Order: sequence, then C-alpha cells, then structure tokens
Amino acid sequence: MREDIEPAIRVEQSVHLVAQLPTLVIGNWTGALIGILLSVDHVAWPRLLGFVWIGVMTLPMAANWLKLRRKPRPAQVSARRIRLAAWHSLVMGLSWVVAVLLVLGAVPTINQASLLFGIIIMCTGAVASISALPYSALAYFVPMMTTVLVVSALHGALPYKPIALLTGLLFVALSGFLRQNWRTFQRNVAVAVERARLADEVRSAAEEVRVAQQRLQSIIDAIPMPLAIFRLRDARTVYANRWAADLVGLSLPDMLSRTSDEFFFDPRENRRILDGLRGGRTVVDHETRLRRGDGSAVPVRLASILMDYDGEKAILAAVEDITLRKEHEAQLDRARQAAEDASRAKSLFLANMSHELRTPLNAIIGYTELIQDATYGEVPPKIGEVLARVEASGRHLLGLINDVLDLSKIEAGQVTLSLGDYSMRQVVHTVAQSVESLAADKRLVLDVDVPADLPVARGDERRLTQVLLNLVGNALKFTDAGRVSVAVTTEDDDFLVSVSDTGPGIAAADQERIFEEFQQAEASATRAKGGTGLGLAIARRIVAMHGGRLWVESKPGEGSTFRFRVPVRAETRA
Amino acid sequence: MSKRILIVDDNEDNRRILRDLLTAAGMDVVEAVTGEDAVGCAQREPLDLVLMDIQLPGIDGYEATRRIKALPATKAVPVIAVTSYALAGDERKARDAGCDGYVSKPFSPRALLAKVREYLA
Repeated sequence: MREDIEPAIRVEQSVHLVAQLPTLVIGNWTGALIGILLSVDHVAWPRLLGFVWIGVMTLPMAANWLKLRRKPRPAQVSARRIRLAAWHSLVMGLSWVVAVLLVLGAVPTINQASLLFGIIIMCTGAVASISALPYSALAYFVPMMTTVLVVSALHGALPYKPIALLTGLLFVALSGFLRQNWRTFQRNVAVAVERARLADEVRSAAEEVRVAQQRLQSIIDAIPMPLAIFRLRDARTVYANRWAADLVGLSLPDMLSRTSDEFFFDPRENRRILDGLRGGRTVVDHETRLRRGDGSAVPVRLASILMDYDGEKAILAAVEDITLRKEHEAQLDRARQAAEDASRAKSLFLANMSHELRTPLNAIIGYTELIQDATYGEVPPKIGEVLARVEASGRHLLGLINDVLDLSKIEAGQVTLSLGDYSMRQVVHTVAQSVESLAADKRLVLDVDVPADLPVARGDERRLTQVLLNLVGNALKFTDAGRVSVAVTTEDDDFLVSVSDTGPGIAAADQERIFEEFQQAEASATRAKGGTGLGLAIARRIVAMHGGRLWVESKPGEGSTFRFRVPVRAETRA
Repeated sequence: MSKRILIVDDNEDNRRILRDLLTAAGMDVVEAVTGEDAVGCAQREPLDLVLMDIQLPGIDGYEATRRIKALPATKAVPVIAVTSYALAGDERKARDAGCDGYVSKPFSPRALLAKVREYLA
C-alpha cells in the first residue's frame, strides 16, 4: 500500500463500510434468524444464545450507521477505527463459529447442511460487500470457512467429502477475489487522489494565470501609451486602453464598437498595413495621421505586430502621439528658415554695401590720380600736395571698408577657406617682394630665413599671404630703425612662422588688446602709422580657421615677435 | 593706328575716368552702358580690348563676356573684368566666363593702364 494514499484509503474504507452497514446488519440478522429456525425444534433454548449474541453484536453496527449515514464525508479516519472494525469482524466470525457449533450436533442432517450452506453464503456475501476492508473480511470469513472445512472434512458421511473439497476451493477463490478487489480498490483510491491533486494543480495554475494576467493588465494600464488590439478578420477593436481612447477622443465603449479602418483618413492605408502584417512584415515607425472621433487629425507613429487574442489572429498596435514633436519640428524648420533668410539677407547686404561703398570711392581715387597725373592739365604744387592727402585718405578709407567687410564676413561665417596645395616659401617671398620698397624707404633691413626643403603645404594660400603681409607690414610700420626678420620652421607637422622687429615693443597689458577690433597699442598710433586696427583681428581668425594659433611675444624697448602656428596640411573644419 | 577699347560700365563716373585715362594715353574709346549694348558694339565695331564691369543692369558682365567670346569676330579680343565683387571665387567665375584679366574696384588708373598696355602688347 502506498503510504501517501493511506489516509485517503482509510477515508474511503470508512465511507464504504458505513454504506455497507445496513446490508451487513440485515444479512447477519437474517442468518441468525434462519439459524434459530433451523435449530429451535431440536435444541434447548440456551443453545440458541449464540445466534442471539450475533444479533446483539450487530447493534453497534446499526448504531454507527444511524450516527454516520447523514454525516458528510470525513476529512480523515484513524487507523484505529479500521483496526477496530477488523477486530469486530473477527468477533462476529468467531461468534458465528460458536453459534453454529452449539447447535450443529443436535440438528438433523438436512438442517446441518443448511447451516453450513448459510455460513458459506454469509462468508461470500461478506467478502463481496466489505472487500474494501480486507482485514475485516478475512477476520470474518477465515474462522467460519475453516470451521465449515474442518466439520465437513471430519464428517463421516460420504457426501461431505466433496463439500469439504469445494469449500476449500471456495476459500481459495474468495481469497483471490478479496485480493483482487483490494487491489482494484487501492488503485481507484490512488486514481481519485491523483485526480484531486491534478484538479488542485489546475485550480492553482488557473489562479496563477489569473493573477499574472491581472498583473500584466495593471502594467499595460500603467503604460501611458495608447495601445489597442484589432481582430485581423474584420479589423474590429477588441481591446483598447484609456490612452488609446483619449487619443482618438472617444469613450472606451465607443472605441470598442469601431473598426481600425475608422481611425484612418484613408482606409486603404490601414488595409496596406494589415496586408503587410499578414505577409509577415512588422510595422515600426510608421508615421501617419489618425482620425479622431470628431474628424480632426492627430499625427502619430505606429508600431504593430501580429498576435493571438482569444484564439484569433489580431493586431496589437502601439501608438505614439507625435503632435509635440511635429510642432517642434515645424518650429525648428521655421527657425532654420528664418536663420537662413537672415543669413542670406546679411550676405546680400554685405555684397551690396561693398558695391555701393566702393563705387563712389572708385571715382574719388580715380579722379584724384588722373588729376595728379596731369590728365586734365598742369597741377600747381600746392594743389598736388593736397591731392596726395586726398588720395591717401581715400586709400585708407578703402582699407577700412575692405577690412570691415572682411571681418563681418568672417564673423558671419561666410568666409570658407579655399584649401589647396601651396608653398610656404613662395608665400614668404610674395610678401617680401610686396614690402621691399616700404622697407627700403624706411632704410630697414628685411631678413628672410626659409628652409628650401619645406614640405608641400595645404591651406588657403591667399588668406595666409594676407596674414603674413599684415604681420610684416605692421612690423615695418612700427619699426623706425633696425631690422625685421621673417623665419619659418616646421615642428610636429606644423609650420611655425615668426615675424620679429626691433621696434618699440608692446607692453604686457596691450599684448592681448591688439588682437581686438580697432585696438592698437596706443590709440594715437592708428592715425600716425596708418592701418585700420582690424588687421590682427582678421589675421588671428584666419589662422584659427586653419586650426592654428597666433600670438605675440614682446617687451617694451626690446622689439616684438609675432608668431603663428598652422598645420602643414590644414583640413576643412566643420 | 590707335587702339580701340570698349568700356562697359553703367556708372557715369567710372566710364569718364576710364575714358579720360585711355584717351589721354592716346587710345580710342567706345562706351556701352549695358551688357546688351556691349554685345551690340562688339558686333559693329572692330575692337582691341574690352573693359567689362560685372554688375550691370540686364545681362551681367559674365554673360556679356560669354556672348562676345562666342562671336567669331571678337573671339580673340581680350576682355578684362572690372568688378567691385571682391568676394572669393569671383576671379574664377570671371575666368570661367572667358575673361582674360581681372581688376577689382576701386582700381588705380595707373595700374589699370599698365594692365591694358600689357594685354595690347
């Protein structure tokens, strides 16, 4: 017997026994009454007490039946109770043996046979009805059958021999039957127990599923994203969260009564999405406009996948309201457009201003030169002197206009370097050539020290020439005696260009200021020395655009050295 | 025989300066105010050189240069662009249009005259 089902078996045995009690009680009474009837004419009444005793023994059985028949199935039954039932059966069996033996010798043969036959019937009935309690059944029928076997075997009359034999066979058959039934009973209980366990498991699994589903539902409800599920068959909405309902401006029940077609301005778009999903494609990042309940549009981004919903193919659609993003994009577009317009306007303004300023200046300088060159006749010396000043002022104004425009264009980001291969040696020579006469006029020595084997460089040659010209021009302008030296070296893939002079030098406090617009070391110097005060500001920016740096080293009274460093191979910078 | 120069400029002062400069240097001058005028002149008159302003009403100096350079008679006549467009790339645009030289305004009459002589030589 399997230990884990023992309690269940005891309960089943108990239930079974209670159900059999009326049969057992009535069977025993019937047997006892027949015993009395068969014996009453042949024995003194005290010998009948055995049968009466049997009747008495059935009383607790009847009482138990009356007590338990209406009771619900007990949760458990003690092993003692089952043992008690077995002991009771043993007493009953022995009582039958005693009762029969008390009368058997005194009754006629026919009655003896009836009594023995009655006992066999009783045993058979008992085994049939209480096979669920094998010990009870054994305790009942073993003494009785043994008695019948012994009595018939010892009996002198010939017909008793086959009876003994058949009783023996019946004994074996009943034992077999009992064992068989007992096994069946155990198996049935085991099956019932297993079924109950499975039912429990199913119940708890169902509960787990329900809890998990509820949890999932809570999570889905908490996601502030419109979600909806549509049946693939007819596009009907079978699920929607409140965010989805809000998005399309409908109540939940209202939304559930619609098909997904109704949320599109063009149902064919929906059909295309559905066909795509049927074809195994997933939809991500599909941007479209959905139709709300009131007919207005809401821009969204859709993601859809196929899923099973209540046993049918369905589409889960996750929707993102991109109204704000679209607005931001539009704002950004407008801002970019405005910036581009402004930049274009500025560009145009610069070009126009350049043209408008230079045209009259062209006339001033042109006429002045023509007069000076006596195109219109001889010029008296005094007027010639004044004209020279007019021309100088005109050229200064031109320089200013050029520098201001140049700086504005750099500031506006409208100057891009036109990168090309160039020779730094050539740049230095170009500059040296163009300042040769100025140096000679001031009796200054111009030293140039450029190695012959400089690598081929890449950069904006015109702009770098402008930078160097500015530095050398300044040096010549501010130096009254001595020399100006230009030197180029290479260092870590950079050119290091220096322009040194033997001029007055620059005080530490002014060394940064001179790179600012319209600043020179001394305000008065601007006028005295010419120049616009913009050259260094422009030069520094051009060097920076090449990815380099421009700075000055100087001490008052000891001259100045302007240095700049630019990559040998400059790249376009974003 | 004196050289004939076509001056194309919509600005009266510019034309006068160039005219005074070139006539004083002993050259003949033909003037045009617009690009169309310039192309018409080039078709009518034998020319030795063109001084072409770029910013002109109607077709601009680039286009006028292209048309002049497309005429068989004036294909070989040098064209010097005279422009106040001192922007990067202007010189290349002028050369692409077929200009032989490039002078930016304001110009020095002395320097311009030197350049003209250079092209006439």
